[in-house]
Amino acid sequence: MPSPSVWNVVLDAASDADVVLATDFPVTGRNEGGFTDLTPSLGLDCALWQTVAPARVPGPGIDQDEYLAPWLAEVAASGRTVRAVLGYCAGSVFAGALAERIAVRQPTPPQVVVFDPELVDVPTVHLQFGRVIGNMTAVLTPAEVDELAGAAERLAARPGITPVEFAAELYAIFEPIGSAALRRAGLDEGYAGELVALVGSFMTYLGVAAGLDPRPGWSRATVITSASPASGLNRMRATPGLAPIGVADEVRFDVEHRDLLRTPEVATTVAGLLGAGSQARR
Amino acid sequence: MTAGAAEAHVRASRKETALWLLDDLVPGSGANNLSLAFRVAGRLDPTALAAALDLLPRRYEVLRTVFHRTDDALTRTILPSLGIEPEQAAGHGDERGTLTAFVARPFRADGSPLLRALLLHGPDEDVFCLALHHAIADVQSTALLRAQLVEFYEAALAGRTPEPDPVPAWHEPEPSEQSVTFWRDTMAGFRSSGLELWCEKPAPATTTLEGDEVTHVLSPEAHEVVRRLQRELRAPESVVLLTAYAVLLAGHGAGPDLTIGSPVNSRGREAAGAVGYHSNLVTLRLLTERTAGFRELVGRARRVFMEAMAHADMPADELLDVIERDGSGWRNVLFRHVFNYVPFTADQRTFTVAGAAAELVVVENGFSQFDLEFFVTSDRNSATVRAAFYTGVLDRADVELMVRRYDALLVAVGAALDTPVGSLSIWSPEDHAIIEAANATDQPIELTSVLAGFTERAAADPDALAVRDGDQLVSYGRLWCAAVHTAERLTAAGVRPGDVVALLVPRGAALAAAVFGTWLAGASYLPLDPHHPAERIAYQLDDAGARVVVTGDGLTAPGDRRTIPAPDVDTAPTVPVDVGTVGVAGPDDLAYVIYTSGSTGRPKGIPITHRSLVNHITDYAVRFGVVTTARPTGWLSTYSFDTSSLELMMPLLHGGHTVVLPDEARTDGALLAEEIRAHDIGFLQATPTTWRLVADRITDLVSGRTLLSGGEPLPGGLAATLTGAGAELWNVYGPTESTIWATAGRVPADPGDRVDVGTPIANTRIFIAGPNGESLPIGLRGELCVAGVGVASGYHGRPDLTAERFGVDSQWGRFYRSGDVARWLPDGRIDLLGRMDRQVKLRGNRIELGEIEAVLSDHPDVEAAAVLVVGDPAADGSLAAFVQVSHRPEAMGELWEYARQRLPRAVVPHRFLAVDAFPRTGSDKVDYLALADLAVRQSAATGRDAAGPVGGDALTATLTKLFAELLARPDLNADAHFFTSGGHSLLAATLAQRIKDETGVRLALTDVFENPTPAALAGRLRGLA
Repeated sequence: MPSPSVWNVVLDAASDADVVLATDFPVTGRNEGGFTDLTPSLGLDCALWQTVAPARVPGPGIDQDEYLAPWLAEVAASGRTVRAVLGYCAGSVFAGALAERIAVRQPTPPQVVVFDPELVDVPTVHLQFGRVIGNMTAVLTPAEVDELAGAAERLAARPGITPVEFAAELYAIFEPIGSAALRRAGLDEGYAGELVALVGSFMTYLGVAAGLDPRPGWSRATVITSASPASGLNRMRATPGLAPIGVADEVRFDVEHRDLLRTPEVATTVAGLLGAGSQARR
Repeated sequence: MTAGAAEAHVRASRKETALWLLDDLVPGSGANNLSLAFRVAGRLDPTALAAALDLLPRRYEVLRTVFHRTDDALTRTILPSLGIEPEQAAGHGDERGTLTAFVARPFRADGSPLLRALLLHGPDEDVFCLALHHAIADVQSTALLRAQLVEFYEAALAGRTPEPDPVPAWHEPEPSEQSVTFWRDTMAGFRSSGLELWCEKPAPATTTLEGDEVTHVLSPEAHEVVRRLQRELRAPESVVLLTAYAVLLAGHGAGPDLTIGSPVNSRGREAAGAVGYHSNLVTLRLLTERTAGFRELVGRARRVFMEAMAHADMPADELLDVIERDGSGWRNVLFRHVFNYVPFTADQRTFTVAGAAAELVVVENGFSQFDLEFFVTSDRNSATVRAAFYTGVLDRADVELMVRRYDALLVAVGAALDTPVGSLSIWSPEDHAIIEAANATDQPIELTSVLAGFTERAAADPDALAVRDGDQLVSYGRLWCAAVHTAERLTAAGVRPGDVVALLVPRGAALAAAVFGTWLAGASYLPLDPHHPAERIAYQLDDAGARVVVTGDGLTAPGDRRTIPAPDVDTAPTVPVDVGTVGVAGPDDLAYVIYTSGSTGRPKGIPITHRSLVNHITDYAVRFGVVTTARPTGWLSTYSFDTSSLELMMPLLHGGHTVVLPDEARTDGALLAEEIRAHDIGFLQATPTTWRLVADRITDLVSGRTLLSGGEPLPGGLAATLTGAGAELWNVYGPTESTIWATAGRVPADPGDRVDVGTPIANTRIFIAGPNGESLPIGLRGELCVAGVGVASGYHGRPDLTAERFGVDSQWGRFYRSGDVARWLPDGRIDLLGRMDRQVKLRGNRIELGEIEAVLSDHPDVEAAAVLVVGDPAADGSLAAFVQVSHRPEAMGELWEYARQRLPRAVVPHRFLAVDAFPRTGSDKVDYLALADLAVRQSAATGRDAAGPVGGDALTATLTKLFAELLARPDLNADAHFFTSGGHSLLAATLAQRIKDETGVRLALTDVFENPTPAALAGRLRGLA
């Protein structure tokens, strides 16, 4: 069996061992804990794979099932039983959706554990785009930053705009400005293109997430919640019209959102959850 | 001095080599130098003295011995002739200093002579001094040389010039096989790391062997015991004195597998008169367990001593191979403490030189090879202890106390020969006097409760301002009314005396009213932090069995609880102050139940009585000047910490008022400064973390104001900043289990490096306990225990933990074990050294993590440092230093060198990790558990050899250099993680571009993401090339 191409193997195991899937978009070098931080403390006796988001240009035409298909196909081809699906932040949407689809293919549905799960809406996309710009202030001129930020403000305020449209339009504005700035900073066309495409992938990822309804998947989920009011269930509960979100169980930790996946107590709890799940199946 | 041509060179013996090794390791020291000095009434005849000094080396071949060091060997040879011309000096002024400097001047292994002479002219007397290197003499030799010199001098004075009989140098035979076997067996399994005394400092980075000494004449009582025990125990005086020395050392933390060095004469019968280096230090390995009685130990010591003497032909240096070395120290592998017994005979000290009265003068060389050496001289009438010590590890004050404790111990054992030595006190009268004075804190407690004190003030002046909460000004009368109203509503909600009422109310006037209202209802309060997670709050409510929760605006208690809203202070019905109602809060009733932050395990509830609380608040209000100032107190601390209560209560006992300060003022210096200025706040309390954050904004304001720092060690530099700005600064210390702060110390204007925590407050006793619970005297590190009125009855509903942490001491009564390491200072103040789990032994070396942090924090670019042990301290553990260097990240690269120059090698951190900020616990302290975890994860992420500067090959080195350049982090190594070291995707693209430019291989961005270390990336590049 060749290595998976749309999954990043965070922890390897024998080819017949179970797998735990993790959904996240971690490659931006953000200052947040990721599944690579969490995994060593989980004491897993199986593999852990993390999503690699496909390189796509965001737009309204992307079919959600088509977007999910490569991930599901590779898992199915591996023959591994999916023990659990984990998700972080907006990735929790994919965790819910993937778990729902995997549940029908194996005798026991996978456990779902999501960390500060977020439904993706316009403010989510806006916030994440702001972080992308924030990482690029070294190469963007102040005028370019202003232009991008201003455009994002205007788009976000447009009545009735959907997250997918918002993500696509943001990327359309960003693409030429970002490419020029990166070339100006000395990157060759290839690398500048890769970086800009990465932003596109991220916006696509958010756009697709916005269109998925993870709530059926989440209804079986254990939610790990941080203390950050602007993240996860904390934010959703405070957002009119979203609550209630049905979840099976919630464990709260007095840590910031960005530290959630690198907090030892969280790892201990999750290790316990996964361990208990695997025992129950024996 | 003149020297003739030398004879053949002979390789130096092992014993001689070891001696010269010391001169190499501590260059410029005279640690191996000996002296022979005497004072003569009148003048010595210079011509006769010159003649005598000429004859001395002619007679003793060994005095003409010189050594040569070459790259590969140390050799000795004997000069055919050697003339000694005494240096002359006028002995005005500092005779002792002159002699010490003369003796301390180093000799060299470069063929130059190993002795020199000095003639010092005093007003009415001369002092003659001969300095010799130990390689050619020992103490016994100096007695022989003195007699011979006087004889030659007297002959020369009488006009005779005797032709001396040459005495060839005597060479010791090889140790017998029997002795080799004996010592190997005797020393098997010994480890020297157990010899450290609890008063010793870690050895300094550079060994200087600078010595000092203390002299003590044994008291007649002690001397009488020594004389009596010789007979009673049928043991030589030396063995009695040696055993007491062992017990003294054991009482100071050495052993019980204890070794003591003892010099013995290694001259065989045929060489009794030989001059030369013929003494050996034998190792006396003496098991000194606490359960043995002195009689038993004397018997054991006698046997050990006799057996050692019988095998004294084996030099200690030959034994080094047998011993398993701990740590990296080369000093004192066999023993660190020496006992040297010198029986006196009257003629040794005073004699005549050509009819003139003369007496020996003891001249130290100013160095000490050992941590501590007791020289005991004794005759029928008295015994004197001269204690020489290495100033690198012991302070003079410690040794002064040790000799007095030795005296007291001898007196004590005289009456308790069969009592286990562990139960004998090693305290000196000075220890008793100073520590008992510090603990003489008894004071009548006049108020029954803080409630009673507040009510008295409210009755006396109901219109006075009690609490300023933003724009809201609340008088004593209003606060009383709101408290009464709260009490009524609590009672209506079912609260009965003895119940617990939870307060989920932010700091402010309503909280103050809720506190007093709870007490008026006969209940105790449970303070809750609205910022805490719901589970934690729920746990506390359930565990404490809270009857009702008082909730502030917009706050809700988790779960289904009976709640009442916090009082509206402004609208509560007006009622007169009634001092008669306060009896409901009796001294033995509970005032509050508070939960510790619980960084490990479940939070623990600590019930505190009104007596404890009012005793402490009363003391603080007087001590910190709240009684005498017209300025208000700042209410800044979170109420779920007990420290917050003093900010509310101190002024309310005395008619003053408290000002509610916003949470943000703990981190925002500008905001805090604004508040201080606006309200002219006279008293503020915070952790050092807060003081550090706000110091630069408030220094121009703090003059004349009282600042309290507590909860964490107060760094000297920070303290100096605050006192330098004119603040009246107090460093306070105390576990929640013994009520708020147990000790307080006014910080002096120039605090130095270490800031002590002062002395116990009213009705509080502190003792420092050794590992067996024994109360330790001044200077010895142990666990700080608090006894007195403030000590809680235990943990709520946790008998197991209560039994573990609380105890009853025969002298001090009920007490709490703090888990903090501390020691008494000679002035009766307490030096806090950190948590017990922060004092570690790493591969045999004692390490005080806090001290390493202090050294790192002194680096100008280090804003803060935290050091911890990662891994198993006994096996693969390593020291990791987390540092905050945000203003100049490149300073990371300098820290290792900086630490290496200032710290003993064994405690130089193995890894330095930069952090933007330290994780903090709920109580604003550095979260070491989180750091430990971070360190482990970084180790796991960066592989096994994170300490190495770069990886082993050129490609990896190139990549490491690129990483360092792009991230401006010269400290990075081959296993550095690009993204946790400050990289982001843009920099990753730049990195890929640079790699392409340098190697011609084009990596995809995802290659960098998936192989984020130089080592991994090098592997990926090789795969592609």
